Amino acid sequence: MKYAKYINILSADEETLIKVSEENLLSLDLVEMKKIREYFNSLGRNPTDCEMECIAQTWSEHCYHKTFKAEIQYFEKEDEKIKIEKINLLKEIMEVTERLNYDWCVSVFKDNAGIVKINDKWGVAFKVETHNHPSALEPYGGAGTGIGGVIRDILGVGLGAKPILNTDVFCFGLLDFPYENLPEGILHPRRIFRGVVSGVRDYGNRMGIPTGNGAIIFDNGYLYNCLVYCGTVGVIPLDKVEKKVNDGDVIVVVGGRTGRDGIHGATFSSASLKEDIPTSVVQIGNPIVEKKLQDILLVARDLNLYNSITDCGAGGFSSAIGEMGKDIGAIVYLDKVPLKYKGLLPWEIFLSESQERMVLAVPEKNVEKLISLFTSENVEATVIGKFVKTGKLTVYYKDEIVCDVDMDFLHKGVPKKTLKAFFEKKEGENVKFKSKNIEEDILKILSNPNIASKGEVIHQYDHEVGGRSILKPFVGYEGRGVSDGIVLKPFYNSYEGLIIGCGINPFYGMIDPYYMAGCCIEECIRNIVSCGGNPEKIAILDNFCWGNIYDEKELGNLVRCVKGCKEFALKYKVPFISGKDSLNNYFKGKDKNIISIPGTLLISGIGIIEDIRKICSTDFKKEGNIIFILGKTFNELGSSQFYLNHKIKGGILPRPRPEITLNLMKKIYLGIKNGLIKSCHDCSDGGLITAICEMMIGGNLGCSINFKDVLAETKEPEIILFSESCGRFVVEIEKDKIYEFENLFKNEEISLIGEIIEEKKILGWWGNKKLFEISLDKIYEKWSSLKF
Amino acid sequence: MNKNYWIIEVFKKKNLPDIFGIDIKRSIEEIGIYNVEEVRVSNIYKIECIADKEKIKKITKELLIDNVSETFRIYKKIKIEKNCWIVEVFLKEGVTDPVGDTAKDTIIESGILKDVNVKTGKRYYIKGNLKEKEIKEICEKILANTLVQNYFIFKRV
Repeated sequence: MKYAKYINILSADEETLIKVSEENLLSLDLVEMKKIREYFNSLGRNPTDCEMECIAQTWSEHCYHKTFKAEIQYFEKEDEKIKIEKINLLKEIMEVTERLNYDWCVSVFKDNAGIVKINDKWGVAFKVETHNHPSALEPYGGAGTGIGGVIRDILGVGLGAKPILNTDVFCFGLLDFPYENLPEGILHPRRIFRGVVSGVRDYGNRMGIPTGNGAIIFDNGYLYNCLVYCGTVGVIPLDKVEKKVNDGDVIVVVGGRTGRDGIHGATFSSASLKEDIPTSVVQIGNPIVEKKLQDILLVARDLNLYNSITDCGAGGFSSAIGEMGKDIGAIVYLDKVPLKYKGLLPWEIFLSESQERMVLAVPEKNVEKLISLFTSENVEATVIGKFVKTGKLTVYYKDEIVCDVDMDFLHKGVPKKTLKAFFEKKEGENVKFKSKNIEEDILKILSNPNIASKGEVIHQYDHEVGGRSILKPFVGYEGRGVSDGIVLKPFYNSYEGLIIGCGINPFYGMIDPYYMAGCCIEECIRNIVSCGGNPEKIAILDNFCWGNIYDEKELGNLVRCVKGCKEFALKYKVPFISGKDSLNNYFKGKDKNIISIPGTLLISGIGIIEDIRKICSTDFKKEGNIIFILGKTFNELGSSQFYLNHKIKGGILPRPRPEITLNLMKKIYLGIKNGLIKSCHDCSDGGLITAICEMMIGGNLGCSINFKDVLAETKEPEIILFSESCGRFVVEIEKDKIYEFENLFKNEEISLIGEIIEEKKILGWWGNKKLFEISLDKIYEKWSSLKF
Repeated sequence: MNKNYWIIEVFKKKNLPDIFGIDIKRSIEEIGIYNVEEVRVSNIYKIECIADKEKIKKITKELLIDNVSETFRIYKKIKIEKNCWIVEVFLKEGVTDPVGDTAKDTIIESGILKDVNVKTGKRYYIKGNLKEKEIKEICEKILANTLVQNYFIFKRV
């Protein structure tokens, strides 16, 4: 062979097989290597380097989701009793959507992103990806390409959707982590933070897509592995949802050129971070190229020039073409691929994860037209092969076949994994804790990085471009108040709207991932509902980021979390439309110690509303209006910001109560729709007091609240102020609408707790006793004290 | 005529604050180095082409700078300043340089040159009484990510 080389595995023993996998960074285990050996034995030859790379990439955790498809034997221990069950994580999640069976879920779990219906003509696609490993190494490039990648996911869903919004959620180590304690080779959280934020900003802003929703979590569990979630929302005509590659379609690559960047991304991201990392895994994106690509692609879509499309993400051509030609077969000519520079080996071209590339399946008759269309906008389009009914993936470099494997083996040959998982319940009793100084505690919570305003970051993002943002990330007086979600008006000629929200709380997962899942799902729904969303028209996405899943306990946590997702999604009647997992987010230091991240679940949600004129923001509107809290407060302080501030471990986690909350949310939807509710904010991190303070900041108004009037399990100031119980909303009502309001919320758990006053301060009462009095200036000063 | 390199340095006008520089100074203080007086940042464009200085001037004025807030100088050799460390950071060979690529495309599209290559980088002027060890630390921790970037330190006189 001139261009590729054979890798000897036919005569290799077990030890050598492992060595081959490790030396070539394939991340394949022994069982998989044996299966590959068996396959090539039947062919009577050794695999080429290109074939090995291609198989490794297709079978990687990143592309195939081995763990989520594995059969897991799950042991759950509670009070010395052990329950055993067999579980398939992916099936659990998909069962929710199947059982709910909504007709407005158009495309779920089969394409690049999930699609739901907005009206009879249009659908909306939503996808959230993670880009953790690259961001930990090169924050700017990693985060930028994360955004770039998820935008291409949206461009590649169906026959292509138009991106209209980006979302981003980050988890970092604490910004004030001492430099001298930082391990070798790890970037400081502050540096990662700045790089990631500028990466997202530069890519999103330059693409002309607003960045409008997100969250930032700080915890030292993320010191070694930061988490970067990037999401994109796009709109797509419903007649462009289906795609199908036909026999004889020509393979055309469009967009950027291929270089050595990002080689081994897929297999690399499925492995742990070690101290020696190859340069080539890092990519740097070029938003201008992608912007041009996006614009011309949508023109080609509307001219019906191609039959199918997918993005070149992890695994490059190998993954994109392999996936598209799964049921047919493909012949690829690698020497035709336009390169950034000379000297790439065939397998490098096939596996490269260079950014800004998409692959199209074009009917022969349209090829010329398509290429001239792309060329007219200075976007390169090149024919690199053909889909042919051979059932094989055949790759040529010049006259040499460098890869020739059966599609069936590639996509169905992955040995099924059987794993063991173990979970032990450890939720304890509530810890009795009296606050010494309530005022101090409130201010401390407001200035906690997880609660404080992220304004400095969010204002770097363009959230206006495109002119579709109706409710923006910041609301109220001088744009100071924080919004629960973002409302978009996707079409210029109709009032239909989209609301996007998210829920994340890794701190709950440290006690019990099951309730973390429930709380995240509810938080996401609450965010959407308090903006005016219809709780019966919300779809959600799951994103799991987990640590070392070869550890039975870590895997047990993951299983427990998935079980929670299924249970609560069914109870809240919200379907999952898409999801992604990023596993093995752990760091192996010199001393071989394994440090995993806290298991983290992000739930992102999208709600569809009929009229964007009937929405609600969180800022207080007018003095004299009265304040209600909807929902009951329970003694649930476990992992609350109050406990975390006082370094108290344990306690009871908030319990989602779907039976009660779902009804309440339906009424809130009505209340906002008919204009009864003037402002609405959900209580989540930081409890009731944080919600009220944020509403004050947004309205630049004060309020007088009697906390004793709050409906609660136990009437204690600490519990009422700081408990993070689910299913609670603070709402503002005009005084003369009180009967109408109480009528609407008849039989619900509501309590009138105070009113809005002109004086710019909060007066906290406990019956007749004054609990505290804090000026709005002080509240704002603390809340906006976070400096990046 | 052989191809040659032109180096263009683009910097903020003197009467305007250098926000990037201020930010870098803050970052340096965060890692515990306090004797930095001032940091100035400029963008470097290395243009490989066949062209005279007039053409390069034209490219710079029309395409590379914001005429309101920025100014530039074109030269072939670096000038070393008194009491001032100079650090240059460039992307490693093979790493995508989006700004350079875009500049290249724009130059070609504008019709000024047909065959050109552009690489971009940053130059930092760090004033203050600093030891070489400290400068190295600043480079590794703040200015460059050695995974994708190379840095060059020019000794002060």
